[in-house]
Amino acid sequence: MRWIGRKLTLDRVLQGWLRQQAAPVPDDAVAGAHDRLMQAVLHTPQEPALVPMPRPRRPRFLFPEPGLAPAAALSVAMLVFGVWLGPMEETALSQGGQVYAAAQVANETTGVVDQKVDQKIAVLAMASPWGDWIDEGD
Amino acid sequence: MLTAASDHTLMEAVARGQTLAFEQLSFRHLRTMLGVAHRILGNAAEAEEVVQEGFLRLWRQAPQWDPDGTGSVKTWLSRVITNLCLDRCRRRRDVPLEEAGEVQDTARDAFDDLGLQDRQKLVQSLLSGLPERQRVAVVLAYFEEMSGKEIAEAMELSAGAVESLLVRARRTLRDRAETMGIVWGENI
Repeated sequence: MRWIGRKLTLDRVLQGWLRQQAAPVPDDAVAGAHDRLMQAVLHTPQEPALVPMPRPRRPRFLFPEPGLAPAAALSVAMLVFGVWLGPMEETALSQGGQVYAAAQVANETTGVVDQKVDQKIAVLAMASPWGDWIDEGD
Repeated sequence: MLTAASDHTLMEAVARGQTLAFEQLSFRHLRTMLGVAHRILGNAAEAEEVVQEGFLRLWRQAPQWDPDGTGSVKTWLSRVITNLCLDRCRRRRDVPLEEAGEVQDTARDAFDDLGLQDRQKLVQSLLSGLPERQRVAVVLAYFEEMSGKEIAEAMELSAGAVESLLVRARRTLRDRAETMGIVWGENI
């Protein structure tokens, strides 16, 4: 504490001494500088105030590149068309009120049908024009 | 009416281009800033140039003045003017002591007999011997009696860095005073 007190005292002494010795700015120097400053101000334009940047307008198209819009539209159209066409294909594979998947029919045509698994497919396969061929076992 | 207005009120008027408000504002701070620049640069003519540049910046940029973000006018001016002074000091580093060469020969016992002008030169010589940033800190703290926080804002430093500058400046001042024949505790 004594050290801090001594330090503060020295600081104040130095500050007082410097202020006492330092030359004050003469009044005429201040007045002259003020006149010259005001003369300079009269010939100095102010910078414009900062205006906040306007938010960028959103583009009318949904995609960043206009060229992508037709491609995206085509993709959507193909998706819709696929959803619509899919059940039609499944319908073509139906028979007797039963709908069979394409894979099941493929198995049927090759004769590789697990009769224990799906008796109905086996019956259908036997009724087809290839039934005799299947029945021969080759 | 303008004489009683606060700095912020005057700045709002200056931002609208009112030269009368600027005249009042500049008159309020001109003496202080001239003193700061003179003590840092050690030259009255250069000090006036620097101060004029600082005040003209204030005038030019007044429309963009942000009272919440910029701080006080005095701190802003101190920052700009001390930075301009430091730029000048860096440009003329090879001329550290300009006016006080004769006073360095002062005899120890003759200090009290020095005239006022010689003492002023002596103080300027002591200040000129300080590194630039220490000099700025001493001028703002001792001559302008700015608080540590204000000095930190003006010099764009932390409060701790300012205190460190002041400690080193005091040590340098004391050492230089002793080499110039001034006895710490007797003359000071």
